[in-house]
Amino acid sequence: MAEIWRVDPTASISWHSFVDAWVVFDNGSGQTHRLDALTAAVLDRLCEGQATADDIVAHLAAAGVMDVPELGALVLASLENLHDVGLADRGPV
Amino acid sequence: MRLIELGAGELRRRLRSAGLRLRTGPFVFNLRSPIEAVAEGLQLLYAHHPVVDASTFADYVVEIVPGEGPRRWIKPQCRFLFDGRLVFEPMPVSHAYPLLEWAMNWCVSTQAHHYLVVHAAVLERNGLAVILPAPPGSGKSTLCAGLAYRGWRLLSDELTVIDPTTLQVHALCRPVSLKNESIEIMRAYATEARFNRPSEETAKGRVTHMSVRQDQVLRMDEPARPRWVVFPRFVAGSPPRLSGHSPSEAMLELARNAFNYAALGPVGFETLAAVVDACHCHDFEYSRLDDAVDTFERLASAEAA
Repeated sequence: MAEIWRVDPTASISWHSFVDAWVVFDNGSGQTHRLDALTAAVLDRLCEGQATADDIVAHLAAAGVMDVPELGALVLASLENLHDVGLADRGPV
Repeated sequence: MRLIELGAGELRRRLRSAGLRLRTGPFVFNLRSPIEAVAEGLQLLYAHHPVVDASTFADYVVEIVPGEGPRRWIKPQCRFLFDGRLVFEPMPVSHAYPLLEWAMNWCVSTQAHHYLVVHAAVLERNGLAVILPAPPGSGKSTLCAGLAYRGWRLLSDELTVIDPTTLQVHALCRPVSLKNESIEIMRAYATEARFNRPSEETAKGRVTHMSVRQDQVLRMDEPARPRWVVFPRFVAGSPPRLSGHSPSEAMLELARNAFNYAALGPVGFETLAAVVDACHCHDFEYSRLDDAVDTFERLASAEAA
């Protein structure tokens, strides 16, 4: 069954971009996380509103950020990572 | 008034009564203790620090007092009271002076939430600060002590105090804590420094404190702008090796080393991010203090050029 993803409702996110990675602070948990470019782009998309993994893949491909055959798998992996650290939440469509 | 102008008798009288109000950078401590080792240590190590009068607000009230009951007589102990409350487990009375220094660190690291406080040494050159976060055993204190006696101004050997509004680092200008082998290394390296009597068998081993140079104490109100974050690592036999350190990783490591980063929330995050943005970040391996001093000299020269 398809899942829809959103920013975890308990998270309150501040961003900072360094030359080598993004770093985000979650004021909800007090945790700081270092994100690679793809995971940062995925989280940025979730900050705009809830989305399925397919929506995010389409968004990234349309923006020309990344268009590789394995993009779907990479986005899913990023979503799982964001879920594991409490930044993303999922539910049924 | 400087502490040296008080005289030994008045220093002890104040310590035994209402307290000695001593200023170290932005903080005023009201210190009370009837223990002679505390008075001796303060007299030796804080001779040129400002003493303020009783009408000046004290940020922290610190008492180092003898143990209670039989512990006054058998294996006598000392205790740290903060606002009259026991904070640490009692220690042998022979550890009274290091306990005072640890208590003062505790006050700043747990209470000074108008600053971002990072567990790191920090020194200044030409108005620019180098921040040295490092775990115990990395040689941070020895490196910091060596640099403070070779052209760099000591802001703090333990606590980097950053103002979130100005992003400036404030000097605490307190004595440098040394332990075990580093005590003899620094006695030989900084012959003009004053060293307190070592305390044996503390939780950190043999410890003592080394004075800050008088000219640096007199400049304690000059803050500095962060310019370098250097992660030092003592590696026996290693030539000096300075290499780049990922800024985002530096941000995470500084956050881990900050006492009140999470408590400050987004302010802590934005402050630290701005500090890292303003800094060159490096790893530094070394084995000889002179090599380290040369490397830091080159860092400062490159910036000046």
